[in-house]
Amino acid sequence: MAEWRDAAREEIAGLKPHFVAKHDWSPHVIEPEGTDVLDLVVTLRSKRLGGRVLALRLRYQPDWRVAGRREAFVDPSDPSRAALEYWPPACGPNVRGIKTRHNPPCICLRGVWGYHSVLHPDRPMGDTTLLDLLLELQAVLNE
Amino acid sequence: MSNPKNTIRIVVVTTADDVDDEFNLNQPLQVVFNRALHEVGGEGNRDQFALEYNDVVLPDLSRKIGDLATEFGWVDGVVLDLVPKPVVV
Repeated sequence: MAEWRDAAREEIAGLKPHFVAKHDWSPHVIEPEGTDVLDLVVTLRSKRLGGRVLALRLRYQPDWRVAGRREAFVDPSDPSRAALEYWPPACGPNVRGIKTRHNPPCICLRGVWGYHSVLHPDRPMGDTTLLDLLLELQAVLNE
Repeated sequence: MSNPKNTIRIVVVTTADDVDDEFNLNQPLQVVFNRALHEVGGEGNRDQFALEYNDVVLPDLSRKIGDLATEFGWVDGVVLDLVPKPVVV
């Protein structure tokens, strides 16, 4: 088994149940057979967006500890469907740090690909954790 | 009837190990914050963390724990969260 995949599974399994239950994240792992991909799908409810439910897909690939977890918002009822319409709106009540208009759309929070590989490639992943990332994302969604 | 206990059990759930201890009601909340910060190794980045109760940040760390207990009705104890503040550059 690939070491990068084990590390991804380990950090997902290590999410604290207190925070998972509190925010109703419902983490779900998808591992397409025969690919170097492990997807984590997390449900996020946004107070800022009037209670809208979003589904964040974090894609782990072999370089994830350097490049970051590749982020995309997907259809909450079908995580295989990724499209801009599932991101928070670019106009109106936008969410701090979520760059829906950026090409590619990305998130400006430590721990994701958009931060470390697109927006701030000079800032290494370091010891950023999945739990910190999700808590920070939940916070901006509720601001 | 007055409460003979001068302490309250406070659990702080953090992203690392949790704090679970009795704290003197006359101490400021800062003492709890410092303990929780130590668990996450965040002493050098104090402004990047916040203590929350029921999803609301407790902004004034100088307040006495006893005063907060009275205001929020903490009787047998309370669970707080230490959460990282979003760093958006």
